[in-house]
Amino acid sequence: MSFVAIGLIVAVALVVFVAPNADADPDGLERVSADHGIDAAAAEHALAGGPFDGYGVRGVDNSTAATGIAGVAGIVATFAVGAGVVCIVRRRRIPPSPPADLPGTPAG
Amino acid sequence: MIGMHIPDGFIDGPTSLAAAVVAIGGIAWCLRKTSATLEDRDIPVVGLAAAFVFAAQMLNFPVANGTSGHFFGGVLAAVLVGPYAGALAVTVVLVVQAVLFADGGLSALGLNVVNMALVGAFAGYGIFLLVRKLLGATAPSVTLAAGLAAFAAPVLAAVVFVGEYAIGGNDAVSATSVAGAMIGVHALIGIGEGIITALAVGSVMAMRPDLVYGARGIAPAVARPGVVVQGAS
Repeated sequence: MSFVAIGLIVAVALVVFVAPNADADPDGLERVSADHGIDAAAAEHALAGGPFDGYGVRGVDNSTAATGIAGVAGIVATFAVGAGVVCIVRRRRIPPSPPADLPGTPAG
Repeated sequence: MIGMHIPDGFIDGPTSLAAAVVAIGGIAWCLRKTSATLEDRDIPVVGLAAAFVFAAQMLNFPVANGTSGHFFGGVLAAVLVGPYAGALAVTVVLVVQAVLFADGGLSALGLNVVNMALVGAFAGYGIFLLVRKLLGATAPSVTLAAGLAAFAAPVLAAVVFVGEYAIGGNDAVSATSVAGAMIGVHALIGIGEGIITALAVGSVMAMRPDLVYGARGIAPAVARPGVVVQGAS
């Protein structure tokens, strides 16, 4: 199986089996911010309430299943956008083929 | 709590805007460099780097009482696909997280890109190269250097955040009073980052060292038939 396929399978396994057991405490940034009161001005996210808000799934109450589904959605999105962006910029670099009827045109 | 990047409102508008300008400039430069150097066969690997960093960022691990840490991924991405494509991969993760999962404010996207994608991939890759040089150019040193550089990445991100906070944060709470705790907790997070990065890079080095950008020009530890390690680019 290709290396990329193996990597994606590992990523899916991580979000399906490990992520639901992720540490539930706030992360370092949030914790220190809360301890020192610098999060007082934190504003609600402009896209709050979206279908995958907070790595859950609207309409799926089972948090384990929701985390797995949200994780797979994120893997698909990041793989597609990541590969897509570099694919697009790479295509732009390839110069157009020279016209065939010009004498002395170098090959390739 | 999964993930958790800088939310809207932590840093004021002008500073967030300045960071966004820096982020856009940095990304544009990365796109340009990537378009000039990336091979077709690297395209799915960049996609994988983004997908894997995303997945790993969902695995918050405990670092202190009542505190967790999440993976950053800048060094892992840079060692796998180079700093330019690596920064792009982490940027893709941050954008998807902000848009799909409301993790990281939209107005704070520039700050998060600067701290995790640009600082992480570039400063992180610089440290990786330095450590690899000190250790000697062997396959195991690629893994070790990646782990050590990855330890530093969250610390550097925290330092930059404290700087951003000093410029555009809540005036009622000084940056100096926050700096120690913020940088200290990210040193703990760096331990997890280093371990995860070393495990991931070590795994790829064991299977396909030819796909590791940071291993170019280095002889594999064990000669594998059919695997060609590219010359230094």
